[in-house]
Amino acid sequence: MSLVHQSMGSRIVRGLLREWKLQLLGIGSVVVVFVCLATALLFVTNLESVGAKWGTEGRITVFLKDDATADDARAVVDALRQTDGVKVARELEPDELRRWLRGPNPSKDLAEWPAEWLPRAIEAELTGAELPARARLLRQRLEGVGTVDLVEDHVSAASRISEFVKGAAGATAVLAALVFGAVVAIVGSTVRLALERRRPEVEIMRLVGASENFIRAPFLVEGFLQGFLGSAFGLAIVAAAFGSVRARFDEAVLALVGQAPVFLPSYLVFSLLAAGSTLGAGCAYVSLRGLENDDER
Amino acid sequence: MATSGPSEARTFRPAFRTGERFSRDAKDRPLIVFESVHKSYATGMRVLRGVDLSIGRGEFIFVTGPSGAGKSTMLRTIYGAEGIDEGRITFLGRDVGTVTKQAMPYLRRNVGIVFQDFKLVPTWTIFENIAIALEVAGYAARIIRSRVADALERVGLVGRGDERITVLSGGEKQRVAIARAIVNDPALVLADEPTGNLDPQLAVDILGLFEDMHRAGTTVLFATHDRSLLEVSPHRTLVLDDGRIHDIGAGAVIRASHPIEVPVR
Repeated sequence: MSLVHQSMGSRIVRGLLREWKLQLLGIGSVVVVFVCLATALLFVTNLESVGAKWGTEGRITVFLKDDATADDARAVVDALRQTDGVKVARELEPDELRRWLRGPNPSKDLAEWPAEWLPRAIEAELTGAELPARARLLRQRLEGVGTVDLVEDHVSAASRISEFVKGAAGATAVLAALVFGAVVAIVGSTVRLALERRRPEVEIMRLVGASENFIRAPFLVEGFLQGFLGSAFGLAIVAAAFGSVRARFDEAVLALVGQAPVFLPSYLVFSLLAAGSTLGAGCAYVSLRGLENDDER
Repeated sequence: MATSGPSEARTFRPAFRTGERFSRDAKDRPLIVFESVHKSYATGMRVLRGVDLSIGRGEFIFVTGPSGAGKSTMLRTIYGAEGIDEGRITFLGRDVGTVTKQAMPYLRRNVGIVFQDFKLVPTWTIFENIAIALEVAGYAARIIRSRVADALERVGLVGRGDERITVLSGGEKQRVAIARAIVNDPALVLADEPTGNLDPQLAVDILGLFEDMHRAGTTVLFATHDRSLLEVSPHRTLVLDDGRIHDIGAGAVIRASHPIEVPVR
C-alpha cells in the first residue's frame, strides 16, 4: 500500500504533473509577456543611467587647461563656492574622473593612466529655481576664466534625455498594463481549465466534507507558481540575452554614449517576481469564485 | 480521600468526570427527523410533499419507489446538497437548513455516501480514493494508513491499495466507494442505488457489506428500486411515491403493480 497519502504538497505536485502540458503552456505564455516587460524596463533603466551621466540639470563640470596647477583649481573652486546658489564645488579625484570618462566599468588601460595624464576637473552643483538658465550663465562666466579649457553644463543633454526617458517610461507603463491583462487572462484561463478537468475530484472532496480552503489551496498555489515561474524564467531569458549582447557590443555602446549598459537593479527584479507571483495567485483566486456555485447550497 | 458519612460522600468530586457536556439520553433521540418537508424543482415538479419521518440511531432503512420518485433528492437533502422549500430536517439534532456554508463540510464528515456511479477519481489509486475522506478532516498520515487498511479489509480488498481504479470491476469499484464511506466511521451511511450498476449476485454481496456496517452500529439509509433486495434482507422500508412517504415497516412484500397499496406484514 502506498505510504504517501495525498497531503497538500502531493496534491499540488500531482495536479502539476498530471496537467503538465496545460501548466507549461500557461507558464510559457507568462514567460513571453515578462520577457517583453523586462526588455522594456531594461531599455528605460539604461536610458536613465545615461541620463544620470549626461543629463543632470544644475550640474556643471569644469575642465582646466593642461598646464593648470593645483592652485588654479583651488582658486576656481573657491570662486564657485562664493557664488550664490552653488551648493557644492569640489575638484574631482582621478578615480572619479576615470569613472566619469568611461562610465561605471572603466577599461584597464584608463585605470592604469597616471593621474597627471588626466585633466584637472571641478564639479559644481547648483540649487534653487531656473537651474538650466543659471547653469548656462555660470558656464559663460567660467569660460572667461584664463585657466578654464571647457565647461559642460549638461543642459541640452538633460532636456533631451529627460523627454526621451519620459516617453519610454510612458510606453513601458502601457506595456505593463498590457502585461497585467495578459497575465490575468492566461493564468485565469489555465486555472479554469484545470478546475474543469478536476471537477469530479472537487465534487468528491465536497461530498466527503472538504472545506473550501482545502479544495482551493492547490489551485491557488498553481496560479502562484505559474506567475512566479513565468516571471522568473522571463527575467532569466532577458538576463542571458543581455549578457550575450553585452559581451559583444559593450565597447560599441560605451563609445557611443559613454556609458556601459547596465542590467535591471535588484529591487526591480524582485518587484517583477513579486508582481508575477501575486498576479498569478490573485487571478487563480478570482477564477475560483465560480467554484462556490457548483454546490446548490 | 476518606469519606466517613453520606454528606461527605455527596461532596466528593472525582478527578475524571464522565463527559457531562453530552446528554446521556442523546442515544435515544432520532438521528434524522423530517418535519413537513416540501421540495419542488423549478420545473414545478413536486418531489417531496409534507414528508414526516423519524430515523433512529443504528437503524437499517430501505427507501424505495419508482424511478424519479425523489429517493435521491430525499437523500441529498440530508447532507445539504439540496435545499428544501418548507419544513425542517434535523440531523444529529441540528437543523440542516440553518447549517452555514462554512459549517456544511463538518456536517458531511458525519455522513458516508455511496452512489450508483461510484464517484471515484479514476486517476487515483484505491488508497487515495479512500484516504481523501480522512485527509479533508486533517488526520495524521499514520492514522490514515491504519484506518484505510482497516476499511480495505472490511470490504475485502486487502493489500490492493496501490491499484488504479481503472483496472477494477464494477463490484470492486463499489467496494472502494463503500470503504471511503465507512473509513471515518460516520454516524450515517447514505446509499443511493448502490447496486444499480451491478449484476444480481454482486448486488447481494454489496448489500451484505451494508448489513455488516449496520451490525457494527452504523445507521444505513439504502435507496433502491430493486425489490429483490428488500426480500433478501428484511428491514424497515419507506416507499416514496408521488412525493409522499409510506412507512411499511419491515418484512413487507410490495406488489409490482403498485408499491404501496397492499403492504403485507
